[in-house]
Amino acid sequence: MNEFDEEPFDAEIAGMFDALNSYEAKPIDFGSAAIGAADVIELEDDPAVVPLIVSTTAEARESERPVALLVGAAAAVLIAVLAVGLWVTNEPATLATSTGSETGEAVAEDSSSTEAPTTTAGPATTTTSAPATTTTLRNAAPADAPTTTAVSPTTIDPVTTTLPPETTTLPETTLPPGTTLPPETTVLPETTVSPETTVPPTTAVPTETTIHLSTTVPPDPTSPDEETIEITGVVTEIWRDCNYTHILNPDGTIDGGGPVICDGGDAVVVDGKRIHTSSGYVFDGESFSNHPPNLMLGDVITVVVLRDPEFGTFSTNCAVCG
Amino acid sequence: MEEGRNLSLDRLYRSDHERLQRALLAHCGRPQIAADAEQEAFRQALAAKTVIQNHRAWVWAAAFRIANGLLSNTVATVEEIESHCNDSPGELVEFLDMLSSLSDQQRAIVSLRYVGGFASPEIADLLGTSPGSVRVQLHRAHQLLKERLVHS
Repeated sequence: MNEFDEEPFDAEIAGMFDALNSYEAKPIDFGSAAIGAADVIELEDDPAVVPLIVSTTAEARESERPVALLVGAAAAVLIAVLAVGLWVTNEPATLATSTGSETGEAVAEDSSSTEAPTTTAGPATTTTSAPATTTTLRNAAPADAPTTTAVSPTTIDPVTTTLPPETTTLPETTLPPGTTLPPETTVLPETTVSPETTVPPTTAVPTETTIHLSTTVPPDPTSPDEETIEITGVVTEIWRDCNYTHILNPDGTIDGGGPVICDGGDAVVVDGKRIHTSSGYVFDGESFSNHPPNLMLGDVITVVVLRDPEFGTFSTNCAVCG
Repeated sequence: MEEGRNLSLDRLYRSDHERLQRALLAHCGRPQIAADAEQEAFRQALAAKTVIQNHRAWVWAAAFRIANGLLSNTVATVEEIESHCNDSPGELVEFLDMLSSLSDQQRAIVSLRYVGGFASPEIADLLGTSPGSVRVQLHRAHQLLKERLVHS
């Protein structure tokens, strides 16, 4: 174990970041900007805290839908009773006019007064169900028409056919002019998906095909502790002017990714696994120093790594650049 | 980061809003970009709420990616900072200027480490790199910042 096995933390650097404490973060202006998604956020359990966004759309309608259905059903039953009553009294035609029977008028008034409270259930339900009811009554008016056809199943249940999909009230373009983000943000479609699925895994390169242990390179007979391994992988990062060398612990295990000895030159990160046959360790995302700047991301390179028995450092040679 | 898996977005906003925006400010150096990136990250998180497994990781990662897209490589002026600052705006501008000497990735890493409080493996997950690379960059960022501190 050495200092690089521990989680890096520098108290002096941390102190420098205290300068940020004087910065007052600007509250997010959800407002109309996020209204398209407002109904998915609600206050949970702290009534003293003002909710980020008041839910007013889909969920509200959803909770009031049973009320609307009940009112609609009650109105439909009233219509059915009225139609039967008209058929019995043989006065159906009077209902369609304002001079109809008192019974017909009374029912019509009752119907409208019953419909009125449904305005609390949402505009779509109310406005659609009321005209449907009236039309049914007037169509049933002719004396020679069977009144049973006026109370058809399709006219009794107007509510279920009139609720619009909630998604139609959730526009996508909701950023207000003041907070509209530059178009650059639209080039990040990945952010709409879970980060876990968008971050390229470091194991994207099949290690079985890209890693070739240099089993044909025998240890140097003059130095039994020296051994080389050959690693082939894809260059995933290039750090310019980086000073970097790996260190092995005296027991042959790799140091925990620590940056340690600076010897100059650029470094590349090869997205592959190094498999050390002696100590059996496996490590991802290796970095190698002393590569020329002409390497490009995505290049496949092979690196021959020499283990230094003195201290365990790796010196590197690249099969591309020699 | 584990505790963020079941953290609802409104709770996340209350707990991380200040830190996230300060970390973004440290990363990009511009208050407006920091605020816009955070807002856009939360907006997209709201829209994709049901498919996000870890709200905290998602919002932090998205905010930094968006900030990268908006990054202008310039440091805020004192006037720009003053409207967001309780006191010592000059000190904050000086600090942001110091951070601007780091690479984009180094700034992101030190911001996530010292403002976000994330550990190296978590930062690696957020930025799509390896923990070893994070430690390397963090080490180099420490060196560069200390050099700047000595010369300032």
